[in-house]
Amino acid sequence: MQNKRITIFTGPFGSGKTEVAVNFVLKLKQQQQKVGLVDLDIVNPYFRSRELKSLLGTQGIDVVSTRSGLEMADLPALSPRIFSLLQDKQMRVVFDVGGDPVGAKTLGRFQAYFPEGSYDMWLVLNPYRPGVSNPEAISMVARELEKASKLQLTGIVDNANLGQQTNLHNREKGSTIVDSAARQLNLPVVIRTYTDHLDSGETCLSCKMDSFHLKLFMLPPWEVY
Amino acid sequence: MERVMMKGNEALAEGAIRAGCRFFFGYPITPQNEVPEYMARRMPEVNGVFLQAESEVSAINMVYGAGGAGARAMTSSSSPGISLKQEGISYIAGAEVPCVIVNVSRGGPGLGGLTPSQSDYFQATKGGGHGDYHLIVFAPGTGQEMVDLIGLAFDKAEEYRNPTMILSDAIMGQMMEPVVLPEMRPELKEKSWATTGKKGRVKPNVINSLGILDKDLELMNIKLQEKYARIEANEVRYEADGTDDADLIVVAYGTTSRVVRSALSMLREEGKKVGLLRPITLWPFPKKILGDLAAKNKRFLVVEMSSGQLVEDVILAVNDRSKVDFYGKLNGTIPTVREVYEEITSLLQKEGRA
Repeated sequence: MQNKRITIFTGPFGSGKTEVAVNFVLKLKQQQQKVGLVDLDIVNPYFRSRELKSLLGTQGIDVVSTRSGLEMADLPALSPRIFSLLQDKQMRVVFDVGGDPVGAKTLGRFQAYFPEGSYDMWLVLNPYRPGVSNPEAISMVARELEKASKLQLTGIVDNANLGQQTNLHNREKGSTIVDSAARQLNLPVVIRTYTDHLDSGETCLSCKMDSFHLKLFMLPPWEVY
Repeated sequence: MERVMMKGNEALAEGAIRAGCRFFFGYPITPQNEVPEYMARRMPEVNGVFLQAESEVSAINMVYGAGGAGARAMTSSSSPGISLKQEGISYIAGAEVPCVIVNVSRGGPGLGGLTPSQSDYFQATKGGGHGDYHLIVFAPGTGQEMVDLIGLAFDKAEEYRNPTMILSDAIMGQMMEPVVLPEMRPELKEKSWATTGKKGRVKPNVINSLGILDKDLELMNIKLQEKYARIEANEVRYEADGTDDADLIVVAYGTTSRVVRSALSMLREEGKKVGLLRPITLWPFPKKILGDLAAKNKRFLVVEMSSGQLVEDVILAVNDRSKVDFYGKLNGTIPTVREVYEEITSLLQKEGRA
């Protein structure tokens, strides 16, 4: 797990930032005392990490988002508590940013807290999503995200998946695209995700990679009992 | 055949483009914003037109114009915005202009909230605007159906010269599923009725819903009703899953049909005889199959996210031949798999069929 105090997950809309960020803080909490998650998504009011506030709270993770009761309000409001997390040098902070450059723009106002070398900003990618199916398109998105956030990307999260239809073949095919984009951008692939949707026989994929098991939290209502 | 991960709203937009839609007119509203956002990026790539109108009222009238000129045109909005479009929709129905209207519905009445809802069922299926008219209403239940049904909605709109509607909701629009996209449609054929200039013809084509002279209005309405009868005879679509040997049949569409399906698979594992009747077209409504099943002594449970709208059509179709129960959630909450499971279990116990 990385050592920088601040980790920012950014990327295109629907690339899996929230799932990755939530799993990441849960893993961090196993090693660190003080861990906070900032839900910076003010683009879209659905499937945001604030929905998991109480679940993460029971694990001792400080989730900062909109004031309680306003979770479903379509408000572009940020909590002042974000600053208290950033100012607490003992706090390991993870940012779950809204999708696309429009979502990344929100990071700009915290720029003073992110001197170069003090943070990691990772680009979460699923090349099966529209608009990022080839390395050229991904590079363009990466540049737009950096421009909007006024920060530098330091790594790539390979989250190539087709949901429940993910298999070894399409997972690896997706990784090829992500790898080639990473080379173009001169960035390391820092995380490769896999979920239980990959058949147990196929999880050997995970042996080959420095893999990151993703437990899915943002499920549609029909997949939850 | 390419397989991609798409949010329901994106699937609708790309499905429309693949079906030959080249004109999109809309106005922002949550939870359908991904539709115009996707269209804004995608339309220029296919030499199409994306236009953010100054209001929903403008947008639907732009659709009226583009559709009247024979183009495949659409608009998209969510509940309060769809209410604003009703005057235009009525005009379009009266003038028999093909087009597609997408409603990614949210909770109402009034400004309501952003949570998914099925309380626009009456508005979608019983007219919505003024006058005797019907839209052909499709209710997708998966991401794939978002793509497939919007393609069909364009085809049927043109075939019957009738506006069609996709009735979706906030969850269907936001959830992400793998979808297979069809090939792009080839050039569409020209329409003899479209207002694209006389081009040497003697009589001009007219697109109008005015029937003020003599018996014009009656004749216009007779013609519309004859068309609706043809649509009712030919365009009913539904999915019947395990209805043949079921004691209890659950009727649900869209998001609730997904929840119901999960509950039913648990109940079937316990050996319960339960089935799903999922209307895919909400108008025309699958009343014949429901009537036939009622005659076979099946009983029904309707699950929907409203105070009881779909259930009225089920009761009409069943026509006292069997019992119809209702389980509804008011705007803001989605019935959980557990709630539906428990509701069905308790109904079966009451009947002594558990």
